[in-house]
Amino acid sequence: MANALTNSESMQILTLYMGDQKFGVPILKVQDVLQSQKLASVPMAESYIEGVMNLRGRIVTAINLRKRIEGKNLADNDNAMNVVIEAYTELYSILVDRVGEVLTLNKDDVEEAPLTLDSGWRQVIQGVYQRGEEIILMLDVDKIIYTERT
Amino acid sequence: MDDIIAEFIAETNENLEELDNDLVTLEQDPDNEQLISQIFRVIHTIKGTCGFLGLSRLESVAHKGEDVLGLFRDKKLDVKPAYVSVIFEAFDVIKEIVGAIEETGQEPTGDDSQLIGKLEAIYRGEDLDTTAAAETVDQPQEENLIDDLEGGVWDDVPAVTAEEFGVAEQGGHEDTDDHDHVLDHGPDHIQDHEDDHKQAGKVKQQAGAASNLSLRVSVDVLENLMTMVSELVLTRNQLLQIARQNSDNDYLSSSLQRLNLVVSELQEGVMKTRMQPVSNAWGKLPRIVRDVSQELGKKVDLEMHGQDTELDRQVLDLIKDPLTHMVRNSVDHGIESPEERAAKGKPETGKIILNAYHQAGHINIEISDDGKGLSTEKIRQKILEKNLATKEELEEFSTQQIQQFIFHASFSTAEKVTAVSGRGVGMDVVRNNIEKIGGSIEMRSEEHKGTTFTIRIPLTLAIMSSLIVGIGGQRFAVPQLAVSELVLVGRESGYKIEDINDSPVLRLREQLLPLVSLSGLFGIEDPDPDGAKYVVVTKVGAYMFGLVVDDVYEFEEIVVKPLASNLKNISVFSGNTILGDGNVIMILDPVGILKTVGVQDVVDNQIEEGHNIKATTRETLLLLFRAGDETLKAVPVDMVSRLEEIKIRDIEYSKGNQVIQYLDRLMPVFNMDKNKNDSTSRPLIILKHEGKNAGLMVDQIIDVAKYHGEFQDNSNDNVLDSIIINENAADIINAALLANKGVIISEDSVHG
Repeated sequence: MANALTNSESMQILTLYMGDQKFGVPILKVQDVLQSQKLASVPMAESYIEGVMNLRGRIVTAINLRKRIEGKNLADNDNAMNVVIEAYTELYSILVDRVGEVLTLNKDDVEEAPLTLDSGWRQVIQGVYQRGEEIILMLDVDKIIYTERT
Repeated sequence: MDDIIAEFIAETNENLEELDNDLVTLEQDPDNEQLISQIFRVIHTIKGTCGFLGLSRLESVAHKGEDVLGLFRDKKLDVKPAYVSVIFEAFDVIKEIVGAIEETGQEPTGDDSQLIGKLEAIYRGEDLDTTAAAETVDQPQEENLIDDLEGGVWDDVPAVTAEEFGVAEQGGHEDTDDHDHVLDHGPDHIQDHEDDHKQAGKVKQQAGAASNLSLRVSVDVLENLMTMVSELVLTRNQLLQIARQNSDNDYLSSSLQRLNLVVSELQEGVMKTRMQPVSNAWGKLPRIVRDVSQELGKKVDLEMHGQDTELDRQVLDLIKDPLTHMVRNSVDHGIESPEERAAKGKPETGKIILNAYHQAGHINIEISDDGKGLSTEKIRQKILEKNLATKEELEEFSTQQIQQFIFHASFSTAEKVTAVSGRGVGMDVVRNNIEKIGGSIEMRSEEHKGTTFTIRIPLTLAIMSSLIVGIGGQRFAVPQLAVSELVLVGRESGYKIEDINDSPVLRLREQLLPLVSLSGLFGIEDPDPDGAKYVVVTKVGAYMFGLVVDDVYEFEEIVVKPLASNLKNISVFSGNTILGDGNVIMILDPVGILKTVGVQDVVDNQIEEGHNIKATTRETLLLLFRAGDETLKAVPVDMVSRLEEIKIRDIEYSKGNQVIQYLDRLMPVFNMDKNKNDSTSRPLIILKHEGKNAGLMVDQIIDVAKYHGEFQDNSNDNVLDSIIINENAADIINAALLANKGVIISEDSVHG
């Protein structure tokens, strides 16, 4: 394990859950993990943008992961966990059902997302990591934030 | 990049900016010796320093420019516009090279032989036209020579330069009248000629001594400082909120009070560091005016007032381009050619005046010219050509309204497209840019007399005073600049929201104010639809409308934070902010709201309030009166300039027509009064249409009422149409027809 850590090809991810599905985001992008926060809703925004919140004087835009991918609410929308990530000097919070653990994995083990995956999913998935019995979907953080204009 | 080079570039850029203006002044005042030595000194400094830094291309251009300037200074050559143009060219090349060095850290490659040829030709006293072509042929050699010589260029024309060198230094010192200085540095002169490196060092030293009292601080540092102060302000607001809730702790409140004071002062101080005089944005204008007017063969004077008025540098950066565009427009479209001006009896030289001043927390910048003004006729044609309004609509518009069309996208009245302007991407872009920073632009123009634009911009963008309003329990901020008044509606307030064709409106002082219900727009459920509401009367340019909100809290200084990139496409918000209590709220953008609810066109046209409403809701405000018989008669209130009382015996006759003396003019009067008693006072309606006025004498003024619906408004009959209003029949009198027989009495004298 110690070897894997020093290996330049290894990366650490934070796992998070949407229902029973496990996802991973690179740990270096994660700024904070927070309990449910008070949000100010943003009228006329995309439906998956739950609102904006104040994190130590910075404004964070909250994105509901399930609404983003499937257009549905999370299991317990009011008690969602916030995974705050930084992208292009802006802060975003990905709202998920649950946060898992930190894993170290080898970059080479991440495979391409299967083509059969639903397009809503494929948009935001960078790749797939198989860990024993488990399948972890690697989230493409930038794609979650920016909607592709069609 | 090397620190020394970076410093050199910053310094050179500053100097060059000044030089542009100095040269324009020099052209007008060729005998100004002080100015010549000043220009000479600057270019001498550039030459010296870049020799030291090994910037050979820059040095050769500066050197040749200096030679010519030296002749000006020694009065061996007269300052002629043609020569100044070449000097300008040289400065442009210098700027270009400096710009490239700034970007890449390297001196760019390029061929300046033609320019150097011209400069040398002037230097040799040859006529420009004949030599310029010939010079280019043998010039490359010359340049190589210069390149080879690197630092010691002036060796190739030793006698003159060496002599000039000394004079240059002396000239400089004489100017400052600092004799000790001359003595101190006296010996340097000799060394200068031997050692360029020392020369450059000395120049730097001098510059350093002069700017001892100020520091050059990177903009990033200031921006950062500003951000931190903004955060501090927010934290202070939070603390104050907490203290308000726990008012029993005296220690806390007294320390907080002190903190409050210090933070306010700190904020002010940091804001000051960001302030720059508006002349920084104007610096390039004299040169532009000169270039453009020369190109177009016009004579234009540029007057600038209030250059010292200070503005946040961010705002300044953003208005630089719109300003340049407008001044260029003034020269191109506004000022007439000298012949045309002479024919009109105006002085041949046109005048453009820039004026900046503070007013109520804002900066006003006025750009006025004494040119031809806006031609209503041309705009009218253009409007029809571009199908922006129908002929009928045009008839209704006042001159002012028609003029506002120049802010419409793709609108240019210049008859031909010149290199300077007339490509149709003009005033609408200017207006958009100014509105983007929370400013507004207004225009007054009188044909043949000139045009004045007034730009109103906030002092700073970072901190903004806003009105906090509530919609269904959620709070939003409205920029205070846009708010013109607040009206309580519903319950016993005396005002109520009415519907015209399903669009909500508010009757406010005989005007119909279109309303936008924010709860409707945002899909926020209204907990108490029948309760009292507030209408925030909002002004965008000349257009007024009302935002319906549920609650109004207070005005608060907010720190504007940009929207996250996936929220930027929502045009109703201009940003967000964190309030004192830590909550995040969205800042409403009135312009964006109007665009979203689909009154884009109305906003584009910037039509005055009254007409807007009429155009969108087909409502006309009519003045009802009786005259002659029992039939109720009406004229649109828009066409009434004012109401007077006169006696029949005041009516006089001129060329067989009834006239009265009104404001020192003879105005025709149409007497519809059946009463022949000539000593009682009777109402006189002063009609106005297209600037003409006429009087209509009636029996009795009855009322002002609103008429919903259409009526025939374009005919040559005395009675336009008969309508039913307030359950009575009424004839609409053709006021335009009557007024057209009238005389022009300017609005000013009417109101004055």
